[in-house]
Amino acid sequence: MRTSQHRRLLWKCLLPGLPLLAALLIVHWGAQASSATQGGGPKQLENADVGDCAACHGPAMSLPKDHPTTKGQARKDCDKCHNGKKAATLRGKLPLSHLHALGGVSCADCHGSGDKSAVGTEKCFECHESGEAVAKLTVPQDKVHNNPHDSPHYGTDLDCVLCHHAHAKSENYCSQCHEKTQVVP
Amino acid sequence: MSDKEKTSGKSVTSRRNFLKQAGGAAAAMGLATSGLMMKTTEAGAAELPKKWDQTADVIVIGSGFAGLAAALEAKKAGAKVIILEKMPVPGGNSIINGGLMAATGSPLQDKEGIKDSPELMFQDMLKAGLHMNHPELAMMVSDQSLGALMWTLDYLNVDYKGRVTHLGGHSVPRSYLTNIRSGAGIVRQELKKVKEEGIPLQKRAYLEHLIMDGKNGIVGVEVLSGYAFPKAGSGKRTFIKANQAVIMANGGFSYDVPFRMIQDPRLDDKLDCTNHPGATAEGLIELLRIGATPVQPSWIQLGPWGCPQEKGMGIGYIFAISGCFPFGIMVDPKTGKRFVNELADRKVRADAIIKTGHWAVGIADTNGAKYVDKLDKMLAKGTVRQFNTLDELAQAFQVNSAELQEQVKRYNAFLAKGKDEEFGKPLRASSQPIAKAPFYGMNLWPKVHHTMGGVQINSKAQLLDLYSQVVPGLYAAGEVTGGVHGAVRLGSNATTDCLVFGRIAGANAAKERPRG
Repeated sequence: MRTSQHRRLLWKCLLPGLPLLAALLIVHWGAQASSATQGGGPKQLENADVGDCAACHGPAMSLPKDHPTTKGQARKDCDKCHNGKKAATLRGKLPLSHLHALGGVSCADCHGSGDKSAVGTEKCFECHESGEAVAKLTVPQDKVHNNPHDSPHYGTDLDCVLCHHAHAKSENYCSQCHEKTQVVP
Repeated sequence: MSDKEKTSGKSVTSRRNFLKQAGGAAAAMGLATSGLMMKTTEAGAAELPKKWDQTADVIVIGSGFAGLAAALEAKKAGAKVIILEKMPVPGGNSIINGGLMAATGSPLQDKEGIKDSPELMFQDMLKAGLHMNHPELAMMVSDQSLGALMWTLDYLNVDYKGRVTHLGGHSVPRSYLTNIRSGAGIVRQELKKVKEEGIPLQKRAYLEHLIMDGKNGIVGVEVLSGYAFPKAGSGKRTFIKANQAVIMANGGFSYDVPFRMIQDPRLDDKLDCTNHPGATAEGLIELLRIGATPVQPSWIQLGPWGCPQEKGMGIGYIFAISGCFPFGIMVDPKTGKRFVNELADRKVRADAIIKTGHWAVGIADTNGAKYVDKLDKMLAKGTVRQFNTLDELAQAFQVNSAELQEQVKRYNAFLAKGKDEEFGKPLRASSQPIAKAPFYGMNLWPKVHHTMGGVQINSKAQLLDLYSQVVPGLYAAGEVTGGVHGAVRLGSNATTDCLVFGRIAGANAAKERPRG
């Protein structure tokens, strides 16, 4: 008797809260579904349209509010605005994997279709030719900067991955000892 | 997390290991006196692997001046050599060093009529080294300096400037300078030869342990290959057998803040360091673990030519060593006066600057600055600044202007007499009065630069254990060793030391009797 009274009391207290609990759960599931995340990071959907940021990142954490849609776009379309004048260049802003993807280089182009292990400099040179060739593209225009691809110490022999990270923020290896002055895509 | 922090993090582990080992060594000393001590070789024995993954005759740890010289000599003597480098780039500190190398009786000295001898260089080394140098090692470096220089000229085809530099503590100008003003001028030529000779150089290969086998001594190494500096434990465990010997050319530990603070607690992380981030102590600690004898590890050198507005070695030091110190003056901004012989050894100068309690000001006029490469770059960066008059310079660096101008007058009078009556600086015949505008100034504050101490070797570069016994199959060369420089290393002598003992180690390692 005493027990059943207690149960009724408990339900009386809890019942008003149930809709709230349900609402919270629905919001939570919804958020999970729309952010399309896996284990906290963005999905790495190989077959998604490259310009469709939301496919991997979800709408919440991708483009600024008033940014035009990017669906179906490639790098050259981005660069129409992101030219350093109208809007900031994407060098150093977007991860290198994204710059590659937007330029038409797919995941499989570097990693093949099997396991996705890290690639070495020789893979980079399948497109970018050689250290010397890359250095020719980055001859400094002033007296202060060195050519980042032709080090006074290492010449043109350094591995690309020392600075360029496809799936993490790139860095300037030289800045371990020298002042950091250059943007690394 | 910055690289510095990551490195320090790694070093904390090293430090713990070191403390453990140091404790063990102290206990061992106690046992030794009671006659219960095991032989070092047995005490340090690491387990032999069930299977070796790779085999070479000679394994070289490190790819700086010493390691590459050792590899080339061992290969020349017929050994199958491999080089292991823990960093993702070759060359260690050598490839980022200033490119100076001391030698006596060199062609450039002859050209300028500079009289020099191995004996004079040896005496200079002892004087700066407070006579704490191991004489047989120091003598080897001075005796072989010309041979090593000629090897870089004739065999490596290194490109040098056409004039020797006069560095602090040397009685006469005797330092060759590579054309590109970096040790890379030598190391890249060594690397080229290594490639030509087909010697494999494995980067990202971290020495975890030296492997001992009783009386056979060191028979191989346990390595983490694919190591991602500074991530402790990264990479795949691999065992490499050395049929003849292992050569430790793994460098100094200036960048290892916790370990250097054990040796000299003043050298905390507030002091900048000129080294590459891989200049940490774990290789030295491994040598101590297997029973090597430490020699003077607390003698750690600060470079007096550091520019506090720059990170690491930077380029401002070139202004100091090529312009200001030999042809200009360094003053205390508070007094406007000189306070030390600008060509004293590094310790004397660094101590003198620190004693003032604030940044010093280095000054050169146009005559002095003409020897300074990359001056344009320094001016553009603002590390060195240019002024039309000494008064303007004084204002900008907050130096007492009247005192400074009096000081310059006095200094110019010494030049006329050929004798520095204030601090006894050796004055070069080609010196001119400090008078020609524009004038140049730069701040100076010491940076941690070189570890004189290390493990004990004999003049054959063989490693000696705590009982002064040769450890079979183990050689060491370069900054990881101690004794050559004593308390203070003279500028440009490290290059000579590394090349001389690297070559000795390589040639002797290849002569070791092969073990089955």
